[in-house]
Amino acid sequence: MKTRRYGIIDRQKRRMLIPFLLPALVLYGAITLYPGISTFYMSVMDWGGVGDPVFIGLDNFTRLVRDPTLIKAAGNTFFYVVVGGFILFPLAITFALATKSLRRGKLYRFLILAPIALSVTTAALLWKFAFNPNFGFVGDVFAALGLEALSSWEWLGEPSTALFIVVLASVWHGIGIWMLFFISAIERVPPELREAAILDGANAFQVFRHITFPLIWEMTRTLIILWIIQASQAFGFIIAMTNGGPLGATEVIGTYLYKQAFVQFEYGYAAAVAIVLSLVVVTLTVISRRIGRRGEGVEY
Amino acid sequence: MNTARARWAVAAGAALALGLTACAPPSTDPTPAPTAGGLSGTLEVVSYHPENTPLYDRLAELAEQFEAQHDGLTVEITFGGGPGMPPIMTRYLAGDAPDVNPTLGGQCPNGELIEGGLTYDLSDALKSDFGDGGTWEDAIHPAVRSQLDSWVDDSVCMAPESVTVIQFFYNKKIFAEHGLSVPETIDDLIETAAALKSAGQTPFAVTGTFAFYMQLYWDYLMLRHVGAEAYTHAIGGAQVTREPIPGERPLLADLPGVRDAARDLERLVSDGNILDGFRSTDFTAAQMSFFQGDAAMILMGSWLVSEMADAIPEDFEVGTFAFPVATGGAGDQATTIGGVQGLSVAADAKNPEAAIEWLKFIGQADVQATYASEFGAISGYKAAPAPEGFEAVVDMLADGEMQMMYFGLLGQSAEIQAAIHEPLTQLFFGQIGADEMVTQMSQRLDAANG
Repeated sequence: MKTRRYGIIDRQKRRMLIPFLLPALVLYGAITLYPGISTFYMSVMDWGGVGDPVFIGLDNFTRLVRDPTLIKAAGNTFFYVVVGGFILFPLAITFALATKSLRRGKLYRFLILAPIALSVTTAALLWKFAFNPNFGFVGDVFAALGLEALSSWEWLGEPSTALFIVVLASVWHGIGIWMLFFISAIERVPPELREAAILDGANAFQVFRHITFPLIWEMTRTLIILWIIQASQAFGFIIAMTNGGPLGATEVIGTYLYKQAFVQFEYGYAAAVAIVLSLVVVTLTVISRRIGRRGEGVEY
Repeated sequence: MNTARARWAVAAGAALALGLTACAPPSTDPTPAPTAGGLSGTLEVVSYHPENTPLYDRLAELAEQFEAQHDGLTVEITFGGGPGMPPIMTRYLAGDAPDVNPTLGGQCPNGELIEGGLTYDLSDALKSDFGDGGTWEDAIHPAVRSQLDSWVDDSVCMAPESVTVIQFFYNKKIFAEHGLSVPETIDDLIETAAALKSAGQTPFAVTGTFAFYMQLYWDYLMLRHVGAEAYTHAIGGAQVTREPIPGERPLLADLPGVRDAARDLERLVSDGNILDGFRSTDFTAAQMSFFQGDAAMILMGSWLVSEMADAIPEDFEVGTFAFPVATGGAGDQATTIGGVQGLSVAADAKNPEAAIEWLKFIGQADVQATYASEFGAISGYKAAPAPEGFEAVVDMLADGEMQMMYFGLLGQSAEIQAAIHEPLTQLFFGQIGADEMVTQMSQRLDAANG
């Protein structure tokens, strides 16, 4: 094997790099590496927060497999990611395209983006009040439409609908940002390509299907991965709207982890859950990248 | 919660624990009493109530009075309720605990804090002079004093601030309009509910989002039909009783009277007896519904009136009655479920002398009398008067026993809590019947207890 021999100047240049890299390396070690390693360490311990942690090997991980609440939480997390994604992406792309072509598009963009200015807690409470069966306006709207069965439905109290409503609230709150991402991607598509397609007789859907979408696919793929990471860590809306209820119907891994650590004070088990959550995020990300590669983006 | 935050929290906790074990090994010896002397410096007191609430304002006013009595002392109030609790816990672990911390649900602070030597042992302090010729301990109701001991060692982990009891609150006007009297037996209560419902009035306000409050119904029915000791034993409650319960833990489903309790619960909460929308109604909204007249009764702690003081209409007439007895029931018919709202001092308090004096100051007759008259609080001290409507409760504190709120379930594992709460919630939601609830609870408790 041929190795490169560094000269004195090269070696001095390399030494010069060390002081410049050191602050970043120290920060990275302190805020990423050390907590990560500590989490692995803690996941093989039984520790309630006080006293000596007791080494228990892989017991926390074997417990994970038998924990029905965690299994349910994992299923709910998957639902959150998939259903949320299927609602978010088509809507965000639609809003991006529509506000680009509509008159007063900027006003509509502002209105769609406005909820992001609210804190998660405020937005969650708004939705919670709106869906309250006693004084929420959603029930009144259904009643006005003559849909009596829906007007008295406990949207957040029924295990069958609670998680869906939380997903809707979360999408409503954040969709403006995703719309902006897509607007920036769409604006990068050369207009002459669309114009040429229109001249060739393509309708709006065909222009989107064959021109716009392939050219924004790279961005879409990255955004899907971002969504998977963000949605897998869902927490704020659920805590504020349902606290994981009713009957665990909205418990996700993030809320379960929090409760294990800060309500039950089972730090070792919470660390094991955190590791599993990280693995879930990485796995979903890899899968989505693999799937995404099947339709490679078009270079232009 | 995102992963990075979880890692941070766990990592920080791990580092702190290692530091604690290295630098300050836990001691089981009673913490030495503070030295006498003038009070100065800063005293940090935790409030469960957020700013701009009546109880926070009361605490702020007391802080000013205490400062006026001790030149050079400053009292700082830190919010530590709800979302403020985890940071307080973290501060305990970091050796930076606030001086005075309220305890929750009548229980000493987290048992592991006591085991870890992080809670000040008040044993010696309780023997000190209370300013009325007797000791601090003598000034406390006997039923309250018995609740102050830690269940993990011989220490005294808190001093009382007030006592809470769980009882029914009812709307006197609604009862009068329908010619109803206070029910004395569970059958009376079910008949009262039926009468209200047939008149178009919802009988009960309940929250479906907080299982511990639904558990209050079940706890009382078990107390009346089965008895405290057998129920506690079936839960696996040796961990929350100071003495192990002798004998093998019984299966919940085998307890005499358990199915009667479950059937009574089903009769109470089914057929539209509970406020519409209760499944997604949190406890504040449920309490608000009661005070707006949407429901005639609510089973709640004696803190209800003070907590909702700002929201109670001026013309609202609130009445109270004890949870009715089970005719022929094998359990305890006279016992009340409740708890001591206590104050604990951190072992590494920065100002332990001031902290203990603060606890004594809170217990003074005039402070307690104001608390009772303005907020309806029941005092843990003998000298304080009973608030209106709670005279019988205060008599009981002088003579009798009090059953710990939630039967100690707050201190149990998530699996044991879920074994009770999930089937119970399913029954409240009408998804399962009484027998199925008992079967599920029993099987899940058995699995959770190994």
